[in-house]
Order: sequence, then C-alpha cells, then structure tokens
Amino acid sequence: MSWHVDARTWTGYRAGALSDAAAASVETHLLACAACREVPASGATPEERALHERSWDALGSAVDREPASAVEGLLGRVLPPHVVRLLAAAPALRRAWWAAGTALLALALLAAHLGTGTVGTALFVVTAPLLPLGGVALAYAAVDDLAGDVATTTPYPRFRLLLLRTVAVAAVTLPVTAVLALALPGGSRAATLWLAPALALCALTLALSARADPRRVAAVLTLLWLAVSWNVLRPSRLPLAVDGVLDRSLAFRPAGQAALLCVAVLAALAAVTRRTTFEDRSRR
Amino acid sequence: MTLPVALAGVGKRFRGTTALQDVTLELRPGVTGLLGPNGAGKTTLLRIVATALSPDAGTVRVLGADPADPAGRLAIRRRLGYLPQESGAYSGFTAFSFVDYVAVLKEMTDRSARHAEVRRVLDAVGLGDRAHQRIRALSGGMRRRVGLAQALLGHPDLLVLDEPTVGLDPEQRLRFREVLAGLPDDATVLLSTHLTEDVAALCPTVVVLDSGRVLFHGETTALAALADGRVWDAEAPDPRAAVSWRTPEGRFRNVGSPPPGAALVPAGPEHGYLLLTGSTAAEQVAS
Ligand SMILES: Nc1ncnc2c1ncn2[C@@H]1O[C@H](COP(=O)(O)OP(=O)(O)OP(=O)(O)O)[C@@H](O)[C@H]1O
Ligand SMILES: [Mg+2]
Repeated sequence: MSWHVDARTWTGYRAGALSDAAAASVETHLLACAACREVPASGATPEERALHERSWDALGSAVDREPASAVEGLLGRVLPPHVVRLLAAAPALRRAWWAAGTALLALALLAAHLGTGTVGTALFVVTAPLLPLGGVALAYAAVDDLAGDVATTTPYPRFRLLLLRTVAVAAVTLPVTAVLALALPGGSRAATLWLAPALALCALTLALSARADPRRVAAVLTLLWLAVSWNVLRPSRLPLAVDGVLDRSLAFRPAGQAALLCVAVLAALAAVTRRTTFEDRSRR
Repeated sequence: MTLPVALAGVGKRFRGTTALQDVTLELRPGVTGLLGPNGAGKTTLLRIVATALSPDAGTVRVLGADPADPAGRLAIRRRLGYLPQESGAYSGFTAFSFVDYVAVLKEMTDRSARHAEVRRVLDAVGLGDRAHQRIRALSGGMRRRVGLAQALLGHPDLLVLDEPTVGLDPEQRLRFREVLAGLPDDATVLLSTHLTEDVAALCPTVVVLDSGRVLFHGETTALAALADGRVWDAEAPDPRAAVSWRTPEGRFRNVGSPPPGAALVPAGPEHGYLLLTGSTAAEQVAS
C-alpha cells in the first residue's frame, strides 16, 4: 500500500466534512489496508467502530464471493463446500480432467475414423480402460505435489483425499467412456468389455499408491495392461469377426472379465483396510 | 508437565550422508532458535519434529505423542503449524484459496468460521490486501508470508518454522516478531535461521547444530557468554583466532583465544556461534 490515511483526512472523515469522492476513497482504502483499519478500531467512537465492522464485513463477503470456476459451481450443487474446495482448488486436478477429456475426445475421433471395423473396436477396448487410470494418476500426483510437506503434515487423511480424487475423476471419465462405447458399432458385448479392466486399473492404482509414486504405479499398470491385451491389436492374416478378435486376449473372455472384477474388488478392499499406510508414503 | 518436544538419540541418514547423529533435545514452551551452517541438518530435524519424516534411530515425542504411531501422528498434526523450507507447487492458487485449502485439510469444515480464520492469519502476516492475487504474482517475501499464514491457522500449540525470515523486508521482520510475541505463553515455537540477529531478537533459547550434531543448547545469553573475553580487534587476522573477518572500519575482528593485552570487544550470540562452528570446522580441517 503506497499511501495511508493521514491525520487531517481522518479528522475530516470523522467530522463528515469530506467530499463524497474523498470519503469513498478513504473507505476503499480501508477495505484494502489493515494498518488504516486499526486506526478507527483503536480509540474510536461507537459509530466509528460500527463503520469499521461494516467495512470488514464488506471485505469478508467479497472474499466469500470469490469467483468460482464452472466446475466448482457445478460441484457446489451436490457436495459440501469444503469438499468442493479440496477437489477443485487444485489446478493439477483440473489439468487431469482436461487431459482425460482431451484423450477421450481423441479416442472418439479415432474410433469414429476406424470405427466400422474390428480395428476400431479393438483399439477402443484396449485404450479406454487406460484413460480413467491416467486421470486418476494425474489427480493423485496433484495430491502429493500440492502444498508438499504442508499438506502431508495436516490431519486430513491422504487416503481420503486420494479416494475423493478417484471418485471425482471416475465420475467424469467413466460415463463419457460408456457413452462412447455405446456409440461403437461393435455391438453391446464390445461396449461393456472396457469397464472391468477400467475398474481394476483404478482400484489397483489406489491400492498401490499407498507406498509408491502414483505416476510410477500408473506407468507400470499401463505396460501390464498393454501386455495382457496386446493380442487383440496384433494384425491377423485372416479377417476375423469382432468377437473372434476380442477372444484372442484372456482379458476380454468371460473368465478374464470375472477375474478383473475380482481384482477390482480385492484391490479396493485392500486399500480400505490398509488405509493408514497411505500416510507413511511421504515419511521416508 | 509433558515437554512439547523431546528427542532422544535421533539419527537420520540419506544414502551416503548422515544428516543427523544422536540428537538428544528437550524443548520447553517459548521460542527456540535453531542455528547452523548450510547442510547442518536443521531442515531434517524440523521435518522430523513436524511428522514429515521418520528418523532411522532414536525416539521422538512431540506434544506428548509418538509420531511413529498413526494415532499419535494425527494428534500431533491437529496441534501443529509447519512452514517448510521449500514451498510446494501451489502457485496457481490465490493467497486466500491456498490458505483456505490448507484450512480444510486442517479439518476446519465450517465455511464462515474458516474464512474468518483465513482472514485473520493473512492479516497477521500483512497480506490482507493481497489475498486475491495469484501466488505466482506475489514477490518472494510475500510468498514466504503466505506460507507463514497457513502455519498460523487454528492457533497451533507447536509452530515449526523453517527459515521463516528469509526474504522478509525489515518492516515484515518486525511484524513477524510481533506475531511471535502475540502467541500465547504456553505455545512452543521452533524456528531455524542462519541469522544470529534473528536469534538475538526472537529467541530466548537457542540450539546450535553442526554436521548433524547438537553443539549447544541453552539460553541465547549463554551462547553469547561463551565468547566473553574471546573477541578482539586487531590490525591483522590473528592466527590464534578460530575465525577472523574484516570490520567495516578496516580492522580485523577475531574470535578465539586472544593474546595478552588484546583490544577486547563485547561478545554477542554470533561470536559464541562462530566460536562453536568455527572450531569444529578447524578440527575437521586438522583431522
Ligand atoms: N531428501 C534428501 N535426500 C538426500 N540427502 C538429503 C535429503 N535431505 C537432506 N539431505 C542431506 O542431509 C544433510 C542435511 O540437510 P538439511 O537440509 O537438513 O540441512 P540444513 O541445515 O537445513 O541446511 P540449509 O541451511 O542449507 O537449509 C545435507 O548433507 C543434505 O545434503
Ligand atoms: Mg534447511
């Protein structure tokens, strides 16, 4: 603050002798300047003190009305405000949403381009489960980076924060992927095959992030998943029907799908029962 | 009364380096300064006290609880304010929303009470009028104050401040002194600094750390007293001195064992500090 209300202006202001413009300028200054606010607070008449309180309240409500982003506004309708703060305050989380959204759009365009045939469907069921995984990993990295040691030494449980972020990312990416999947020409079977691996990968990321860097966990899981589902993408000499192509990987056969769902449930259970270990990650 | 901070035989190694070695330390309520050269282990010690890091050896008790135990850690974190040396990557936040975010993490769920508290701490560090600027648009000293503001949230019983005065201009240093003076008597503050002036102005008690070991723990006046009669001015650096430096007047000030008839100078905490760390540096060179 480059200037302060001087004694003569104060006297004039108190006596109501200032012009409206000058008085308004004093009041605007008071809103911004803590030092000058202390002047009327100390040794002031009740009227002056009331004025002081009013200006503080004005500042307070200005603060409460801090512009919220569209995302925050939307979340604010369904969630308590402090949860919204935890979710939307993080710029990196917004980045995670954008990244996942952009990747989904790209995938949609690609699928539409390759669409009608088996190749498009195969590409979709292999890549779609990786999108929520990527989004979750980005959101987790935000948990660990954001505010660094400040955040880790607060009482808020890291597990709960990770879970919140998982749900936030999943709530956005899963429905969009589902809509895309239904638009696929591969039939209803192909349209559901991505869900079990997507859930398994998200739950595994959560469980393994108790001890390891979420980004590393996501990278390893991505490689694992590509290894498991690679057969579907391998070009074949004979033209195969969609079902035939999908059956080439265990992951898309009924047994594999059941196993993936089991993995999802077990990983989620493991994460919940061992949730206190999530706090230890940063303490080494 | 349980001591707010009690460390016994604490050690910490990072791969090849020993950051802390057999540190035994008991702190009482009030402000304690932690002095030491770069790499002495100050940050490591503060992170252990602030439950951000677990030691390899020894026992730690903070506010009567054990940080190794999840329940104890939670109990400590509920009563702790911590300013790390390195601030996190939160530059996209406004000052207000960052402090508000930390306040939510500190379990302040009621919105209006929380916002009032956020305003209080931002005012306390003199950032009331900058609350809605993005942190990346603030100066280095202002960012430091945002960090300090979040540490003050919720009137913590233990404040752990890693180099809180770095980057503060003289006016803000005074303000910081007032913030510390305004804390309740039973609050405990542990702050690290490189500046003996800070210690003289802020800390009745001081701990000197060098190469991961505690060299001194006592009253700041006692640190100054270590150098009583051992500081003198001369025309040239004296070989009997542990440390010598040129004064603005162009003479040399020496700290060590003065020759007979030396022009003695009154000792301050910086001389006691230099005597302690200078002599270990000299020993290290000798060995
Ligand atoms: N995370 C880490 N990984 C590896 N080495 C570390 C790590 N943290 C600290 N060290 C080492 O431990 C020693 C003590 O470091 P520390 O940061 O505690 O010193 P400091 O007294 O805070 O120094 P400064 O005054 O420069 O802040 C140094 O040798 C440092 O290199
Ligand atoms: Mg340090």
